[in-house]
Amino acid sequence: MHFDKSKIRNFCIVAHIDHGKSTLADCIMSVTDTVAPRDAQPQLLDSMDLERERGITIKLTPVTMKYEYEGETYLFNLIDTPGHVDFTYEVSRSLKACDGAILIVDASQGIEAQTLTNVYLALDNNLEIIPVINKIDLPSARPDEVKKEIEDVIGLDAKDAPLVSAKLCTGIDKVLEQVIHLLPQPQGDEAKPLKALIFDSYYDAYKGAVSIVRIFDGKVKAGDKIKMMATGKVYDVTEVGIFTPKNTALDELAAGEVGYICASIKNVADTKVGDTITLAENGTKEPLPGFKEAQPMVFSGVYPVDGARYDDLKDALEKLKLNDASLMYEPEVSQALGFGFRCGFLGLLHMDIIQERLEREFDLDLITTAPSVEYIVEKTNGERIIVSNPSNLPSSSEIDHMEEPVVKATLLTPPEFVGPIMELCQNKRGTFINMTYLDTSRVSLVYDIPLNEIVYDFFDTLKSRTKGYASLDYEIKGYERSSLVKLDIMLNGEICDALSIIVHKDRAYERGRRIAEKLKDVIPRQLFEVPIQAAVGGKVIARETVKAVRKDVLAKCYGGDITRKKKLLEKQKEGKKRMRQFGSVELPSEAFLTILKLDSDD
Amino acid sequence: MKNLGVYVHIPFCLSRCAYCDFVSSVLKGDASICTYVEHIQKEIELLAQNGVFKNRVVDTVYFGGGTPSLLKTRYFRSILETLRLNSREEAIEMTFEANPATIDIEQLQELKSMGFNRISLGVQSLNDKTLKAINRRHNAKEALEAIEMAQKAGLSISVDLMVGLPYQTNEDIKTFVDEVLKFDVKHVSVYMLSLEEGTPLKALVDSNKIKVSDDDEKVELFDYASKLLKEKGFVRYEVSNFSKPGFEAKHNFKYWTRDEYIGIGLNAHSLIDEERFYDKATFDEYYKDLDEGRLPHVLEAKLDKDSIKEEYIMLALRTNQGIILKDYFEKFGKDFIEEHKIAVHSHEKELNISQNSISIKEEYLNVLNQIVIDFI
Repeated sequence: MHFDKSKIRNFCIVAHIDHGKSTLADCIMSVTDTVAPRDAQPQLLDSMDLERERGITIKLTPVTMKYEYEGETYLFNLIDTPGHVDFTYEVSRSLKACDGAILIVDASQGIEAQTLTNVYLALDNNLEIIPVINKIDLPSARPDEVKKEIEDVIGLDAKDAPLVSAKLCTGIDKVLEQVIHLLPQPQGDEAKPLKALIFDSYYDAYKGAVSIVRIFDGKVKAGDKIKMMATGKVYDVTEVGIFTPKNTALDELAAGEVGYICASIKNVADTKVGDTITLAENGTKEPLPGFKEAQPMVFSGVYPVDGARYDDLKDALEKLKLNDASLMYEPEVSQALGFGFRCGFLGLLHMDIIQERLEREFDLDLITTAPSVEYIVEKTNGERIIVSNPSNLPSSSEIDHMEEPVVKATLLTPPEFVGPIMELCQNKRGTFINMTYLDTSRVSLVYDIPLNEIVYDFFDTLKSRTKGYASLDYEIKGYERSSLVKLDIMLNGEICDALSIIVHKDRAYERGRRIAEKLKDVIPRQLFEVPIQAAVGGKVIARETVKAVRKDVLAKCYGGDITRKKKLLEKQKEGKKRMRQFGSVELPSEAFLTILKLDSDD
Repeated sequence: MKNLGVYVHIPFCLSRCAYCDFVSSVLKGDASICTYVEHIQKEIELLAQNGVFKNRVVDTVYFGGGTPSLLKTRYFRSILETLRLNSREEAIEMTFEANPATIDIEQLQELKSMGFNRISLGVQSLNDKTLKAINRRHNAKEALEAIEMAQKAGLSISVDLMVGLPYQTNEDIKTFVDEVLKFDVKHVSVYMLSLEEGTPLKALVDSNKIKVSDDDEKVELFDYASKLLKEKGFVRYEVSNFSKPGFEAKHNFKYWTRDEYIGIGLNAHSLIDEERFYDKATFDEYYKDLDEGRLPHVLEAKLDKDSIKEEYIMLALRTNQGIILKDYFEKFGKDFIEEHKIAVHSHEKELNISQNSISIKEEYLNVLNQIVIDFI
């Protein structure tokens, strides 16, 4: 069955987190009878529990819907985009698959940092944009001001922007009418060689890695031999189809359409987001532009609390990797933590999600080391190496200089928090770039900030200092030379490798002191005194002591009630089992967490 | 024939001490004691019917509480008579606990004549302000008079000292040891106060109305008491117990050596035939079972070999004799040191290791758990 391209609209919804993107998507689906009401769980597009809990969408799931308008049937392909900075590249690929976008702005909060980032991304991709004002049912809604904000800040005409309440599902027909009239039909030529953009993929136990694609030119059907242009690998297509939102097989996908291709591909790593699929014979020579390999930005050691569960962790990572090509991991051995993995993530949220999924879906207790970034180290012998694990940093005498990744961070805030934010950015070694008043109630601040400062609880501190009113977005700017040192933590005189971090020289003293203080609070008193020292290049810069325990005995034993005593001892023994033995020192898992949350204003 | 310890629980007090969370009730009248004693007798008879006293010799008897000294001597007599009628009683040690405020010389002499040869006096402190704060019924003067009375009655005397109490200082500890040891006291139990949920003292501390020592301060006080007692020739033969050599509490020692004991009375604990059980903890339940001809027992555990071993280690390490290696081998068929190589090695510093035994050095008894958990 072929659909007239003039009746197809491929679009996405862009918004800041929490402005109602998923709720609007649900609402559009219910208006188009795409999901029977009984199936309509809240926020259907967010497939993972975790995403639903956090109210954010990570995974991109397109939906094909039919909509009757003035006697004609239209086909809408709604492409969801992740709303988080970690997934900027994925967002850009999804936008590429669209011809237009609905921009949702919260009627009470107005434009936020991610609204801007995502709008600019959409504009960069030449998408037509329909602004929509959401949450007009809220008493604090100020639609006229927000319209003006959209016009002033983004430069979009918002005069006719539909006012909707996605929650109550009101005003949606107006939105769909504008989709039909204002968004362009897809371009492309069925007669040309196949060009299909992979903008997402997922793993299916029966069908293998499934590519989610937008067809730009040509056609594809079951039985075709296709080629992945980035990897050169060739596969036989077993099935093509669309999402309604369940997989529905079709005879063929043609230019302008959005759907999926199955080809018995074993690994999602072979269905790279951004890659172009063409036919193995008489394919196109020109891939679609913009393909990039997924680039992990944040790294952390991940270890099972119970060392015996290393293999379980390995299996779990393998399973997650099936569905998440951007997750990188390799085995790593730590003196303190034993066998584990060094994992690379797209960003902090991605890291959080993976860790939480490992714990929840695979029932693992994990210890994770402080998140780190990739440093470029130029050695005195001229060799340039990349280091993400502080333990692998060469000794200072072998280092000529180091470079660290820096991001361009955009912060949007009500004016009253400009002071605290500037102070925070200053503390985080930020370089001020500019400040713009978007209107009387919103200020945009742009700073260059080293990524390693962002990965240390920048978000938490920002949230607490601005009562949650400021928003942050960032993009990688590049590498800059920096005076970095390795900060070691010594317990009972021995360096605990899992606690080492790489920090800027000027921050080493302060951070060392705080780590030592925090560790003192979480390390339980033991039979002997445990000195905690923070050291840079062998020189101790801070010291705390965990005093020896004085009392740990069950004294009362009247009338021979032994059982209660035994139970208490057994409980204590269980607690001890959860400890990590480092030399003669026992460390609780929290010890490794303390350095993750160091600069919070607590 | 096996030896058997008999523990009789007397759950009555004239008033409740501020730190106490034991099963005891404030006395309402003699009638309730009379009913209780009748049930104790009934329980002894049922135990006999169930064969508990068969092939066993009662070699220690201990009346604990509560406040056993509240009982009129005729009640002691009735209980003992029933016990003697139903078992082979050849006790070498017969102890009763007493509150210094509730004894008189005639009573002590009578108890002596019945066979009691040891008294455990709950002195706790000789600072009147402290005694008042914890709601003890006696003052320092009465406590010393009680000790003198016990001495006159010819009883072997044990006193309790509690450390970590409100207003307590090192000075108080010194006064306590000096004053108490002016008498012929052979045994001192030293306890660190533990604040239990639901006690009046806990509530006072939580609401900052009264201050008690923290753990480190308690240990300071304890160590000071320990030092003074040792200077006077006492030996710390168990975590909380000090005695002149040869005057260790024989009944209590059974708890550490896992010898058999039968508990009689409300919530009293027993170890018989490698089963741990206790009597029901409310009067209603306890009476009901006995009235219907059943033993009011609640089984806690039938101990298997591993649990026995675990108990053996954790209890033996509380004592200065420690684990007797030969005895351990005979009981469990394993060489203790070989079996616990790693723990022995990592705790070398805290252990006395000789050819015959392994024990924990006295200075580490207050951190016993840290060591024991590596052995079980």
